[in-house]
Amino acid sequence: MAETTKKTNGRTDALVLLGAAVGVAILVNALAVQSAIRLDLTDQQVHTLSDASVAAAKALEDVTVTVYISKKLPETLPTPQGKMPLKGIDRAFRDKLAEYARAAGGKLKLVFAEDGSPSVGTIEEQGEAAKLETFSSTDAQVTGNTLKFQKYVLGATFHYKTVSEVMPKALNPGFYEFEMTQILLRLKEKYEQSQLMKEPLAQGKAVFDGVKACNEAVQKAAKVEEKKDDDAGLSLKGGNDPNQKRVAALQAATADLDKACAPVAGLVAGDGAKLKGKNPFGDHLVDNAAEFDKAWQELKRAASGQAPAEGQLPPALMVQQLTLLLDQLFREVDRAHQTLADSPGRKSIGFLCGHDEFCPFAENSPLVDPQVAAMLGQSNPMMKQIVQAATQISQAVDETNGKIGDNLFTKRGYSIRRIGPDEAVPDDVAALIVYAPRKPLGEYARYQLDQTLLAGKPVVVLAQSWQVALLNMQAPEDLGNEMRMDWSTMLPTASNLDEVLKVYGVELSKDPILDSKHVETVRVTGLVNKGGLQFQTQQDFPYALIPVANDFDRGHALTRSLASLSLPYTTSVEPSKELLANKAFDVSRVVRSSASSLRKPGPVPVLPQTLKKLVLDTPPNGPHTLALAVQGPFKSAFTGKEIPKRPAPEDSKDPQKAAQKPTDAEYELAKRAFKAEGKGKLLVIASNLGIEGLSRADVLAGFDLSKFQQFSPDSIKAFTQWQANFQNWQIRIGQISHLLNENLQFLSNVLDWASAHEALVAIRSKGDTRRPMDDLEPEKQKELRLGALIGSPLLLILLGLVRWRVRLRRNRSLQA
Amino acid sequence: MTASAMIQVRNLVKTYGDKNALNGVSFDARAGEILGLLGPNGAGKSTTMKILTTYLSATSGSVTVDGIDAAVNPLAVRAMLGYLPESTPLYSDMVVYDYLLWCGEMRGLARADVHKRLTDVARVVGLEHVMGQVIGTLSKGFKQRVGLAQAMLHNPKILILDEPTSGLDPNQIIEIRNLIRSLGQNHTLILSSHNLAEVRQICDRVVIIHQGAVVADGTLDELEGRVASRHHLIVGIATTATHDADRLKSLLAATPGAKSVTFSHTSQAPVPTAFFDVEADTDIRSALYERIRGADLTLLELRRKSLDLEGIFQSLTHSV
Amino acid sequence: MKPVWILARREMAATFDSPIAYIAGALFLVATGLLFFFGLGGTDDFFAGREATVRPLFEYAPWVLAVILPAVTMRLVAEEKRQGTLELLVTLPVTDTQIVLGKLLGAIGFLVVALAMTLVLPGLVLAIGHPDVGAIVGGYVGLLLIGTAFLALGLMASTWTQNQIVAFIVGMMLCMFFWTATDALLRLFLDQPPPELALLSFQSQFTDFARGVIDLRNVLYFLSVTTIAVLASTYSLRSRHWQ
Repeated sequence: MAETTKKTNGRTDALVLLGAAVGVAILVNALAVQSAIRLDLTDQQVHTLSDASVAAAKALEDVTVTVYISKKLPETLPTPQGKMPLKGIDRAFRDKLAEYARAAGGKLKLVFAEDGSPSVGTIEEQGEAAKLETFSSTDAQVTGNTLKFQKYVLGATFHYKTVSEVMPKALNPGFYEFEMTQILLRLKEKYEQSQLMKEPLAQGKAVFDGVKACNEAVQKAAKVEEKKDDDAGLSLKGGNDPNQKRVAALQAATADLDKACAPVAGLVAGDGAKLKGKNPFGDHLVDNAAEFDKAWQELKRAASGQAPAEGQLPPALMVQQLTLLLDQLFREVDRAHQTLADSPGRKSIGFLCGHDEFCPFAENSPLVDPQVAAMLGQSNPMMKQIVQAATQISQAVDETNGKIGDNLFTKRGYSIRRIGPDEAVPDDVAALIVYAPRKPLGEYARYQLDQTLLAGKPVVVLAQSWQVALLNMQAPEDLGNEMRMDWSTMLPTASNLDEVLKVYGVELSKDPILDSKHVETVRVTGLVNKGGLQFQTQQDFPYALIPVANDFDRGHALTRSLASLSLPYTTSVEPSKELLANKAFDVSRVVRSSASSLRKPGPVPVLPQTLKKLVLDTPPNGPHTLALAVQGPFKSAFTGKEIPKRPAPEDSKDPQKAAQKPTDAEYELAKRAFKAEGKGKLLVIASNLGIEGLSRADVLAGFDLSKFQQFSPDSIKAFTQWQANFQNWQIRIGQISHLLNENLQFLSNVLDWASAHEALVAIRSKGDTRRPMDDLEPEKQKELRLGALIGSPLLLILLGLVRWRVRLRRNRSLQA
Repeated sequence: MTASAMIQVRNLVKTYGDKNALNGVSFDARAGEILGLLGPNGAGKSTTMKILTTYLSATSGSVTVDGIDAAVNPLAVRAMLGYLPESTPLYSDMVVYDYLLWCGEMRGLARADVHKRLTDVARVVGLEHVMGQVIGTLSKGFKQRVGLAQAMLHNPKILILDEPTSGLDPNQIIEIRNLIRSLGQNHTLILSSHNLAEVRQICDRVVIIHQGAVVADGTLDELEGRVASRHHLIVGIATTATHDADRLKSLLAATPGAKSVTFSHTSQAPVPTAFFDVEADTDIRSALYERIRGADLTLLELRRKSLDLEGIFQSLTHSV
Repeated sequence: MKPVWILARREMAATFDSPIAYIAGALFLVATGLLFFFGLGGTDDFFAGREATVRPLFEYAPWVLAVILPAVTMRLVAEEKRQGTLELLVTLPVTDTQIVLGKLLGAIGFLVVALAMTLVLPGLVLAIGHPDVGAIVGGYVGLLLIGTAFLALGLMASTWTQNQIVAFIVGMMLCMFFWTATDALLRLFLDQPPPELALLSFQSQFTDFARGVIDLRNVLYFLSVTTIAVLASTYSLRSRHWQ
């Protein structure tokens, strides 16, 4: 049997060795999971923490990061753009946080939330409590009669000393580093600033806490079991009415409620009054707290069983609505408090408004004084309707602007301030943005720009010299006809930026820049008739008016890590000879168009095909500068001139504005504060980045109440045109919306640069940047494709043939 | 055995599954000797050679080449060997020159040396005119030469050739035999064959393997001496219904001088003819004839079997 | 190490002497090219994306490699076994490991040539845009590693049989299993496969390369798979001793 032993030995040995090898491999791989050895080959080290991030992580002592990651994340997440893959996102998130922890060298601690006891809740519940945003995929669970979507959470909270920041939803790995570093930088500033702002913050917190306690007490007391949601309205008259029960419950809890809610009034009058006027968020907080108190008093009255005053709802219903209102107001207070608490780490950026700029704020004043509207309505019901409709459009415009401001800036952590044409730039504004005015800047606004620049605050000017309408809506000539969608024009705007900037040595041209090769597309939506049915179609046309720039000043923070930038409807901006000659100035051509670009006095035909022909027929004269940054000792444009007086606010009906009437004393102060020279930072971008301003004045062009005293067909036509104007704005944004994402990144870079967060600028651009390819004719595409498809295999076979021939010859020579 | 043994094979046992291919084979090969491994197909010649060349390991037993244990240091042993496996497997899509060049390099020869050595060997085995030809297109004889060339390329101490002439036509056989003969002048050479004539022609010494065991080991003269005294007679007899095989067998065995009789042809009775193998020390043909006639039987064939391998085996196995 | 090179050179020459190299190579190039330009469904259009990226290549090439490479490795040992040349090969003064490594290296030679031919695509993208060159380099390193792992698996399959077709089918199944099915298979047996196990799939190990990151963990993974396949092939060759 000796032989069999030997035989099996050989086999067992091999199997044992192989098993050992597998074991070692598993061990090595498991150990390597902890390793951070990686080589980042990408252009901008996209996947490696930047020095700025490492510095930010090291700068803070003892940061605790609580990480919330749902145990089982969905594979994909439905979005309007299609399914977003989430596979491996938790690993990416964890890896990135671990990278920070390593970079911080023990100063940053990661704590992972785990499912806890029912009182602590699941990870998702804990996350929600920590103000993270939950999200749902398509998988739902049916419990009883209700369909419940599974909630997921992926995010973290960062705590440093007394302050904290939230990363609510981490679904974009490309921006993890940016968001995390931003949070770390903010934590630091926030803590430092909050030390300076201790008092207002404490006051705000006191008011908030009071409101919170009251609301909690009320909501708890008012929570009555309702049979079914649907029956709530029907069973009003029934004796078992939940609303009645609620009244009873509130009455029963009167003592407790009084105890919880009585302090609110005092807090509003005390801490609230002190807080008021110091900070816009504080104001908002106090205002809402006051509203809350008012509602509470009303609720108290209604619940006490007093007979309702004339015209009021029955108490039961009142109570129900007021309870809801209280909760809503509490939420508003909560939000305001959050913003206030966050405000220390945020620098505000002023947006100049009032010249048809991109000005993302809702206007406060109503379009038409309600009293006037009522009067008008009595005299002419038709007019009433038109005014009502105009008010609706105006509200839509305001809402849109408010949302844009919220989404683009507030939610991204910027605090922005509207600066009207009649307002001075406040001291706490860190930078001024003049975003594509389409009307000339007045003397006072120019003066504000001048002095802000000379004060050393960054001034960013975006220009819009042309208004391009491609297949826009146009009100029909005759009443009753349908709106036409064929209005294509290119009209100059009334901007006087060229004149404004000339003083500072910046020559903004009004000639559009076209490109024959490096262009992005314009997305044209049209209606197509097919078999009697109308279909909406979308088609992308390479558009010479949207040149793609990829010639950047790599030395400048703004463009250090930018891959490419598409600038719709841009003109060019060049430094003057004097400016270039002046060694004291640091001039950077931040963005330049390609060599195939063409500067041509406008207007040009706007239809893509016609334009293309024109561009191909004209020799290029690029490159041209599309964005210019200048830094140096600027001289004031107002030296030796009379300083303009602040104009009276246009709308003096608004009592708040009326209070801001210019005074002589103010003017004297302004005169004394005048600076004739100062080191400044100026950035001029010759495009609006595709973000076109939407303003009431623009949409409701020609809206004049006096014209509507009498009904006329013209007024109907005007009204149709307003509607068209609003839709046209949407059409124009839609045509280039696919570029907006990237351009918004750039805009955010600009804002960070302006608020002295240069480190963030480079990090953000590391996110997924689009790298557009040149515009190619379909024939050229076909050629390239065919070349690549057939070329390489053909080459391989050719090489084989050559090899064969060579070998054949060699072999013959061997025979001899 | 002797100290000058180049190769010592001791008690080789090899089992495949439950089948024993070798049951303790032992022999020596002395330096400079041409040793023939003789045996019928399936006797274990190839297995022995595969173990010798370290292609396979023995289940037990040892092979020592020039003092080196093949199981311990197979690479050193392989370096000393040139091997031509049975049926000459070659990379058929390679050109002769490239193949030999590659073999030389694999054997650790420097490229420049290989080329020189290559031309020499090619001349020796007669491959000069096919160097640029693809191996697959060569005739069997030339392939065999290529196999020989690769085996002797690195001038090994030992050449092991497994059935080097099988499948060749007579002319080729003669050429290859001459070639091997000349190689034996300065190599230790082990070749296997089932052809005694070939072994006789080439080998100094023969080891006969039968059913996985060595049945004879000695010079040809020694072996033939052992066998020459005995021979076989094939006797064909027309049978009748009254004479069954056993009776006939005893009849033949009773012939004086006959040592053993085997019935070598089984057929159903009544058999038309029966063949007997009669072993004898002396010529008993006339006596046998008389006996058969006396028994009133018809002799159909009486033939003295030539001294072929089969015969030797039979005689050897019987004598053991 | 020298015998490994000599062996590899012969293997490569043998590969390129046989038409299979050109058939497999051309198929690989045409298939990756088509997938690159038109996507899996044939409906995508690379040019319509207007993005200067080679990403689709890295997305699809492993699929094609998982089919093509076993066709290159199927011959390596199975054919030597069938023709009997293996006997001559292993009785040369080289170790079994050297033989396996040499054959693998020779097959890598083919892989390198095939991948080099696909450089036409990044070349095209470079000509019409500004792709991230680092990401391209990373992707190619990844393809090389994943291809090597595929080759090792195919080679292993080739040592198990005398039949090239069997070697090809088994090799392809192994490659496909590691490339695609690990996740799906795990899900068959486990309701919630732990994330550590999901790391087994080539796909998840490959994504970082395509993004332009060469992570030690991913490199180690592919090298581990390759090493184990090489060891298994060596033992399979050695198994003649104890059969």
